[in-house]
Amino acid sequence: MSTRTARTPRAPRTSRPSRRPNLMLRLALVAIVLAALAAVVISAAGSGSPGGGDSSAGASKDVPAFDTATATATGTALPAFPDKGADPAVGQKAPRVQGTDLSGATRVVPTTGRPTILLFLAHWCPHCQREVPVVQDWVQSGGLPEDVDLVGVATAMSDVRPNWPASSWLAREGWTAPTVADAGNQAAVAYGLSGFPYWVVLDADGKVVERRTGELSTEQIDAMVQAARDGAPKE
Amino acid sequence: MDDTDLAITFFTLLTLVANAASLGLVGLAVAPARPPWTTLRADVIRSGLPVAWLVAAVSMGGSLWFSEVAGFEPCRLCWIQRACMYPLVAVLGVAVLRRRRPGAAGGWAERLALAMAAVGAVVAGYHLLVERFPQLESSTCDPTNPCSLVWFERLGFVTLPYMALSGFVAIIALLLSSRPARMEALA
Repeated sequence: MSTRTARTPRAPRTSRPSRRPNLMLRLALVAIVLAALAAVVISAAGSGSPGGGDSSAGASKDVPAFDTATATATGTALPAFPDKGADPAVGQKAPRVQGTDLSGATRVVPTTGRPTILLFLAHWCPHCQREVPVVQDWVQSGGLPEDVDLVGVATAMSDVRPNWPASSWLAREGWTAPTVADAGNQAAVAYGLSGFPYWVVLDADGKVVERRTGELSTEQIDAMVQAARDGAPKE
Repeated sequence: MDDTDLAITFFTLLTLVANAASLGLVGLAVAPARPPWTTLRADVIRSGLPVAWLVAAVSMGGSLWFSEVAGFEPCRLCWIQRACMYPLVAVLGVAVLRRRRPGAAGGWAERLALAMAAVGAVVAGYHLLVERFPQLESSTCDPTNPCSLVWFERLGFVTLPYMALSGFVAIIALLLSSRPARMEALA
């Protein structure tokens, strides 16, 4: 006995795509191949002209010694800068950092007997890239008094990250503050860095007056200068 | 020749192609219903899904190349975009296979793909804004990997989130242009 049942009628095939050559898909594949060929030609032509007007990570191959130089930190490390609440490092003696500056000379910070503002910078950080010209303009307009030091610390350096190397970036910005290289991040760790840009205000005794992160206005920097002069609160 | 530079140029060119294709699809949608536009529309309806799958697959390949070969660490917003783009390769693959079945037209896979691409486009758009206006997220850089970090920039506007946004928008345009309702209207 046959168990065959009547077939359900097929759905109309009007919605099925036809089998004719798939023009758009072919065009897409051709576009990929042409883009690959064009990229090879453009990159080959551009390799003879450094820079080229575009920016990308690790663009420069000739790296100055500054950008691979490490710093050493001696003394008790500061606790990490907290997101909120009182800063436990205020009043604590800051570590001394020895490193190479932009001229290639060895520099020790802070200088004994002078209030100091340390500014930790990362070449790849957009906020540092915006803050450096603000601070440089402030310095050039006479904002930094003679009795206070402003010292940069170029840290978190990485040749795969954009705006490398840091020394070229600072030179482009006309940066004049003495700056120590911290390629190994020892200084950043010793100062409890938690974000960029990172500010540490020290009084003439080398004690922490305050720490801050982020872009600051020139008015806020003026206030830090005054705080450095006034010194850490007495216990 | 630097491999990273070559890859950035390659994907920049594909991004521009995706932008042009998206604009072309919008133009086609409002074009009059007569040849050659009707022929082009029929092509888009037939090929839209496979091409959308190709866009997702190439985007995933590029994303993996930039992170695993070039060493560009993905940030938090990058990961959300990845979570939208990578599964699209599978979802759109299913949609392509379903569309090939007799009588099958659209379905959950295409709707899911559209939703994922829409979420990815919104996040990529926000990421692009964070790149341009870093203070949108914070006035401080995360010391490890901030979302405001611009790994590269070509032609003054093509960055990684711009590439992702272009991929998502192209997929959305292709999906909307090849909807089954449009297919039946042409039948």
